[in-house]
Amino acid sequence: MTTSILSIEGITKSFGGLDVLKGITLEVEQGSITGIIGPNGAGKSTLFDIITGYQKSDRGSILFEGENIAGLSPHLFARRGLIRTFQLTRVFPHLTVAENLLVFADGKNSAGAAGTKDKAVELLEFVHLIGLANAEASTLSYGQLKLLELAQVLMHSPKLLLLDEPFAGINPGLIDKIIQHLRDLNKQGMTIVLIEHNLPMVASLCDSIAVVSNGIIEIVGPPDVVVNNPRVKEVFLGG
Amino acid sequence: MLRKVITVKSKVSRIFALIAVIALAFTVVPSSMAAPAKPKEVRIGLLFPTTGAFALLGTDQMTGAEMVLKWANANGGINGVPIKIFYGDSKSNAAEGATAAQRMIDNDKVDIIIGSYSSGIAQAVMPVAQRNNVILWEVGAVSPTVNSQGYSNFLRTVGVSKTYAAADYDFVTKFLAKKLGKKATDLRIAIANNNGAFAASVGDAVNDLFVAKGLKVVAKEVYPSTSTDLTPLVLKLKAATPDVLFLTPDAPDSLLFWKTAKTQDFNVSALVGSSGIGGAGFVAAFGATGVEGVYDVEAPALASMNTSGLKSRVADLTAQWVKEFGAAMGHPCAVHCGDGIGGTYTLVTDVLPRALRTSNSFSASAIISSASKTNIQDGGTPQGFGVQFTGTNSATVGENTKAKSVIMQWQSGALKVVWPSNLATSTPFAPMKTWDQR
Amino acid sequence: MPPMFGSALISGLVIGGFYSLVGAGLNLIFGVIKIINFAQGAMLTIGAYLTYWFVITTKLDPYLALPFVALVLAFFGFIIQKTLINRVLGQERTSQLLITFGIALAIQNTTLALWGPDIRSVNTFISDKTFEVSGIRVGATAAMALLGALIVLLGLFLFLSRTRMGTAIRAVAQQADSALLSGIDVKKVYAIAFAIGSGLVGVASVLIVPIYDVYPLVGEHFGIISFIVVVLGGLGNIQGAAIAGVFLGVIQNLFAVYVSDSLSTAILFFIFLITLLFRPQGIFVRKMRVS
Repeated sequence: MTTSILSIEGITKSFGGLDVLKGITLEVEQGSITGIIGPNGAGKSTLFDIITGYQKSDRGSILFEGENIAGLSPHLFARRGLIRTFQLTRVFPHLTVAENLLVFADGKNSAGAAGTKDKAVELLEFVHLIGLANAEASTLSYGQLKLLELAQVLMHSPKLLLLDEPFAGINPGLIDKIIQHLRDLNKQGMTIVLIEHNLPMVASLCDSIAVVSNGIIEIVGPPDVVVNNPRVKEVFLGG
Repeated sequence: MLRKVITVKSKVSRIFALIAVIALAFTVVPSSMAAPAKPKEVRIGLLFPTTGAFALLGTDQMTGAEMVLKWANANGGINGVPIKIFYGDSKSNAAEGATAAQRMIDNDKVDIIIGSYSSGIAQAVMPVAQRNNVILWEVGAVSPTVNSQGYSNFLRTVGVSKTYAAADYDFVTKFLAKKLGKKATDLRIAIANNNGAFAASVGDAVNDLFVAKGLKVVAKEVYPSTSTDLTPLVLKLKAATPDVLFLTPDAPDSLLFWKTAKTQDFNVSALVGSSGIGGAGFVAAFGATGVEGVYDVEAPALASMNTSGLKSRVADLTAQWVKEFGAAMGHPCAVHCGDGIGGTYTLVTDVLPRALRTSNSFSASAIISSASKTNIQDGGTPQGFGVQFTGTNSATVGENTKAKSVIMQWQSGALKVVWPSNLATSTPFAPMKTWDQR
Repeated sequence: MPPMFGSALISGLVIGGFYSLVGAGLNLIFGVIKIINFAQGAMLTIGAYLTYWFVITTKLDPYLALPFVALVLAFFGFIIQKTLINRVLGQERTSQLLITFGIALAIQNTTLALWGPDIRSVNTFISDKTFEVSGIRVGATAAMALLGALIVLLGLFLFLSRTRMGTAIRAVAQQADSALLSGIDVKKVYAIAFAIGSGLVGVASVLIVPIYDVYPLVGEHFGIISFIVVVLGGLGNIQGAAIAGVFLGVIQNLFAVYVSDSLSTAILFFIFLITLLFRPQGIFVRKMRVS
């Protein structure tokens, strides 16, 4: 029997009369990798915002590890082990790459300074940014910023990681490495939810895929089931 | 006792009035009896800067005026007509002053506004008073431009900046030059002022008069009233090596100037200041030795004036008010308190009683007509000078041709009137000590 | 160096040091919280009165009031941010602008009601001392002010660049969303930034009192000029503000000596307008930027 780390129930959200989310219900199983796909404007990022406290839902509940977290300030999510990235990177442009990571370590108020530094170095090596540790973040390319952002959130060793299009703008060789690392993290017990457009990649990585369209979840299930769904084929495989 | 006499008097007049009414009731020729009713009160608004940058001295001036109004009321008002006092605050700001004046006219229905301490504020209040046909009785502002429009409802008891210049010139030529061992025309004179309305008008008046009289003005400096550092001013004055400096600042820059002069070791044989130079804060900041010998030109500080030249009744009242002010405010009745007392004294003892007598009214026209007949000799007001107003057909309207300024000097921690000698309580000395000697 | 030029230059540096302190505090608050603190000048006045009150109560030298005044003002800033400004942050721009304006007016009128309009002076143990080097003269209180401003500004830079809290403050200034993500309590950091900005004003006020005395509007001119400092130095650029403050002080005094004293304040506003029109990002390259 599996347990849910995140239970989303009946989330609705409208902006000025436009219903963006019309009742999203989703269970994320402990230790799974879940992919969320859907056309642009389907409400995927809004859903992430609501899960992590950056926006408030109109209705519905969100349970993280069985506890209702709706209405908490975003900075408290991070401390509970729930963290996300943004579709457009939001690193600190005028801090150095290293400082960008250390801020995240501090925010959690945990590890001692030495341990934190080691971890930062390790993560920078992993995302191939160690050579740029003392460069200001604003001098990085888009792909590098994406990597930096990933390294940032990993500083927290989160229980649940929400990634908003983590592979956009990153060269294919590195994507494979990241996927491998995400699998490793997953094996160590980290639950991952990611928004991604690349259906084959999602299919190979995820245990479960949810398709969001028109503000609801149209279909949810194992990759082979979802990929072979005719409607999904029509939308994502141009078929 | 005085009060008792007045009560008796008013009782008598009430009986007379009663008899008159009864008599009237029996008369058969009522039409000829329709003389205007005696006003039941005179409504006077005090409009001074009691908050903001000018609050320190503005409050002094307001308190002086208020004391005289209250004294008048305690003594039967204006021949039996009580004075109703209203208060306004111009917040040290011309626009606020104009707004407050309008509010006092609309809401309080004042007949007269007594003001204004500041020339800039007076200038803004004056058109409001004229438009609503209310008198502005100016006791404090000294810039000649306040009534450059020639408004008929303007009456000013205090002298304009030209009276400062006249006193300065008198003092330089008749005393300082001789004392410093030079011919007046050989004295090196520097003039400095901030760019506020008051200071600029005094600085310009002194400069104009001195240049016209052939004195040697070696520097004429103007600095911003908002200046945060007076080192540049002092450096320039020092470079000009004057014997005598005429300085017109406001209150805060007075202290800053003197501190900077000390730092830069700027010495003159005589400094004739004004405004804050004569204020209580000046001696508090530098101590008696720090300010010893500094002159101040202004209307007289009543607390340190020789009142023996005043008419005895005026001298008694002045002494009483000086004491009352000191007790209430915790510092002596100086220049601005004197302005408030002197100007208001003329209003309630001369102009208003005559207006009531001759016109039975406190309308603007009645007050203007009464003021045109005012002719108080020197010694007849608490400030020592007389009062006679210029009329509407002269070059300036409503100015007191008899107003004078005096020269005072800091001596042993007190500001003493030293010039002219008939009002003096002490004799002037010069040169003053250099910073090294203090 | 001719004595007149030298004295004007040094006094310009001193006045510039005050501009820098007040301006850097204002810019820190703006950079982090994105609000303009119109109460900066009024808080300087509070600091001046606190110093005065400290001196007459304890009979100690005014410079000893520095930690006390800086801490009280920092605490005051912290409370203002926590109780007033945090409440309006999500609201429209106008209420954010007006709230600090309201705070400024409240402070001004309260000081007037509490202490009256009198000018009060305090003396320090170095009030009477003057340094003179080949005709160039500078008062000891002015030298102390310059030294104090330098030390405190240097301390601020080190704090922001070298400490964890400093880095957190810069992080919040640059990307509040990510700072939240990292687990930083952004509203607390706002309050800390406001406290530091106010504390700098507290330091400035203690250094100012022996030179300028204490009266209800003592802080106003400095408050106004600090806006010029911020624009010239670049919004959110602390180092820029520090340099711009000194630059403005020197320009003001040299202009007063060699061109026109009466226009020496006006020239600052002229620089302000020119900067806004042609170089709204400020005249300095970004070095120590919080945002």
